This record gives sequence, C-alpha cells and structure tokens, in this order.
Amino acid sequence: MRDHVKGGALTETTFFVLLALYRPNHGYGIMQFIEQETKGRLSLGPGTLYGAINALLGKGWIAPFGEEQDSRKKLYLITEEGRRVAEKELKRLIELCGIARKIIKGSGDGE
Amino acid sequence: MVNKKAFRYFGGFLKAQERWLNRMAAQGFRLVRTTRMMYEFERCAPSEYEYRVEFIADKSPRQAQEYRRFLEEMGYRTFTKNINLNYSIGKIRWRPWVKGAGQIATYPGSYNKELLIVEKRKDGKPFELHTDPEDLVRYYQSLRNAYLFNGVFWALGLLLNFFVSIPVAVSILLGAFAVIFLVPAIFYALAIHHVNEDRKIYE
Repeated sequence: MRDHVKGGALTETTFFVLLALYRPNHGYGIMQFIEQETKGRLSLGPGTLYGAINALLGKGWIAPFGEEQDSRKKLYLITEEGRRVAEKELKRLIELCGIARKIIKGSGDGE
Repeated sequence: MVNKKAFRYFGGFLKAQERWLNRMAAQGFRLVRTTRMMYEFERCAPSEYEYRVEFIADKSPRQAQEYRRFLEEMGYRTFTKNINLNYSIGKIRWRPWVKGAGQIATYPGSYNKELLIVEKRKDGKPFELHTDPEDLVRYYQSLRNAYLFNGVFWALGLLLNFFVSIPVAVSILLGAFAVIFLVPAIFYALAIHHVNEDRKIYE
C-alpha cells in the first residue's frame, strides 16, 4: 500500500498487462505477449496475472471485450482511462531514461 | 492399463506435496483424480508434466471457481485438494482470517477444497504461479493469517487456565495445537519479510 503513495509508478506487470491489451487479448495471449516482447526476461505466473487482471478490472483500466461469456475464452481490452494511465507512465519512464542517460553516459564520457 | 493409486496425506505441507507429485510425474505418472487421501495416476511420458500446489482457502467458492476457470482457459489442468482430514458430512466453517466473501466455508462449497493442484505440460519455461513480489506477499499473507488465527485460537484456549482449572493433559494438547499452527505462521511471516526486504530495492 505505502509504495503507491510515492509517485504512482506502475509495476512492470501492470504496465505490461496494459500494453498487451491495446488489442483484445485473453489471459494466455497476455502471457505470450509479455514473454515475446521481453524475449523471455519477464515470465508472468498465472496466479499473478489473474490478480493483475482483476485489479485492473476493478480500477476500470481494462474491461471485458465482446459478449460471449461462457463458451469462449474471456477477452479483455484497455479502456480510455487505462490508455491515459499508460501514456502517463510512458512519460514518466522517458523522463527517467533521460536523466539516467545523462548521468550514466556523462560519467562514461569523462573517462 | 490399470491406473496407479497412491495413498498420501500432506496436510499443510504444500511444498512436500508438490515435490511428491513432481517426482511421480518424473517417473511417468500423471495425476487424474484426487480424493481425500488418494491420488490416482495414469501413465505418461516421464517428466511430461509438472505441478504446483496453491493455497486457495481465502477465496469464496465463486472466486475459486473463477480462478480455476481462468487457469483451465490458459491450458493448465487443476484439481482441488483438502488440507484437513475430516470425515463428517455437511459442515460449515467460519474463516475469520479471510477478507470479504469466503468467510463462511461450507461443504459442499469451499470446504475440503483448500488447495489447488495445478498441472502444466512442460515447455522448458519456468513454472511459478506467483512471480510478482507484491502478489507473492499477498499470497503468503493469506497463508500466514490462516495459521496465525488458528494458533492464537488454541493459545487463547490455554488462557482459560487462569479462570477455570483445566486438566494438565488438556493444557498440553492446547499448547501443542497452538505450536503446530504458530510454527507455519512464523515461517510464512519470515517469507513475507524476505520478499519485502527485496521489494525495497527491486520491484
């Protein structure tokens, strides 16, 4: 709980689930998306993914997609609010990268 | 071919149960059915499957069912398993350590389905149910709370000694129960502490 007060940084899991849902996707698809995009660096456990999906549904950042409920696999899609959150996170990360590059590269150049 | 049956009871030793199931799978036995003390296996290629055992007693029957459906949708096979041995029919349990729905466990319902056995066909990738530290802490907390509540319950029983005289044998029994539940509670509290320490630096 306390961690979220600091700056509203999303966890990597949260951010990746949001990114995976810029097009309709189901649980397995989200997992594969994350594994492919990170080339296997990040592998999400199904229990963790389930918790993340439920938390994001509760926040209204993603929503169920399509009507078929029982027969087919459940699909999800990012909402407008979810997109806003993801864009804000992207800005934060760009800023962070900019600072890090300046300092880390800068110290490297001096030697 | 006749299926292999094995009788085992692991209680709250989730990791032991997991290791045993994985040893069976390594020898070419795939789980097909569980009852209270019996596991039924069919023949499969050695090491074709692997297993994880998860504590789900903090979920209401509906939540547990949804979780199972989610896992099955993702291609895992799941089995429910009891953590206790209890042979009467029709029962209700209050689980005060649970948040929200799921506090009342009934049989049939969520009682005797405290554990979920999850099977995955091996694909060379790691298989863990909980990978995110925050989620891992939440999971350990549900276990710690369950044991802590039971431990404190029996310990409070011991306190009755101050008000009425209890036979020594009963006191010893109460104390033993308290210890049996408090030891795992401490174990899970330490696990939470370790994850939280890492969480100060890593996500």
